[in-house]
Amino acid sequence: MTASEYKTASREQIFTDAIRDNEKQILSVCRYYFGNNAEAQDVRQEVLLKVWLNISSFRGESQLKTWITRITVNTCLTCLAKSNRDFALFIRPGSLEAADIIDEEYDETRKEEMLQLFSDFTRSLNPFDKTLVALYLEEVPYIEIAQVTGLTEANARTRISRIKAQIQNNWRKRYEDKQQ
Amino acid sequence: MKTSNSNSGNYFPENKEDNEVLDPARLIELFRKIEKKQTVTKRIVAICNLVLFIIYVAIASNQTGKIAAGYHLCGLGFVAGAVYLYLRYRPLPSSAYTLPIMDYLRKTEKRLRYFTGVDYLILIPILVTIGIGGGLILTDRLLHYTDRQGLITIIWTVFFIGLCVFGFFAGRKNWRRDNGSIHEAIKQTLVKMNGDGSL
Repeated sequence: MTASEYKTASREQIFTDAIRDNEKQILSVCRYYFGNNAEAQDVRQEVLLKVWLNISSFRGESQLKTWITRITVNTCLTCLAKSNRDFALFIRPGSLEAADIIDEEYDETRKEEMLQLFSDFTRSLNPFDKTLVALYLEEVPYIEIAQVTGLTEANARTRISRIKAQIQNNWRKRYEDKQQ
Repeated sequence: MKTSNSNSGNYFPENKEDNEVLDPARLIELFRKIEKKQTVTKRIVAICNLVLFIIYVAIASNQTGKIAAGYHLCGLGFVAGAVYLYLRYRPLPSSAYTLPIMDYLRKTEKRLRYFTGVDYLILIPILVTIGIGGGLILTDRLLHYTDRQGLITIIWTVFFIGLCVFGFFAGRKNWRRDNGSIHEAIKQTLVKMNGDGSL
């Protein structure tokens, strides 16, 4: 749908369109915050409700996917605030992306260790940076990450690069410590 | 960042390397609480203003000349104050939920400021209106006892300006206690996240 079509389309039409194309990503983003459990499903439901309630305010100024990702991130953060707990990003057990961030030439046998390091590291990040990492792992383009968070694209890129450099340093240090 | 108020506290994640950035989720919760509190205060003050407007207009209907104009001006000032309060502290729309986090922070930062430039532009004319109205009433009443209109006007002007200045500083002290620390936390976060030092 184009921006002009969104202005004329019915609420039901836009919602159906939105869910058909983005349902998978909504759940995927929720899982970074809540893991692969019922809580992620509950938050997903809440995201769908918020999309339905706010769909009339969507003017097609950004992509529908970006708009939905933004609602997903905001809902996840709000739900985390309600549960009042710190969180590490939940990485899928078979995730290669996290290991890729740490070391491009990683050893398959050390993947578990890498994921553990990644989990510990993300726990220490502030919620903004956790969100940036989650979106990066979800392979959301930088321009969309910027639109979701409200940062500039250059700023989002810089922050993600810094986070990657930090985690790589941590990994190297750990590796060097073990060798000594 | 410790103050005695319930809205104050540590808004930053604890024991974090990057702890200058506040937790947006906690902020959203806190901001909602502040909004609720502001709505209650706004309603009470707006109702008082409207009651005063009704009383002053009722009194003005039995008066003539300068004194009637004074009451009308005061009534106008009070009703304008009520409208200003209603507009200034109306809650963020539910669609604010769809904003990017940084945009939401910018909005909350603006909302939590003590006074913005626009506030001064609106409030000063309202206060001037009430001041002139009050001055007309007072001089008219006191001229029954003395004919020194100039002196009465000067005393009233000094008193009214003093009252406004006192109100400004007393209000700012309350604002600092209630919202100062959270406002500062949002500002720091915006500066930190923007990277270029701008809000």
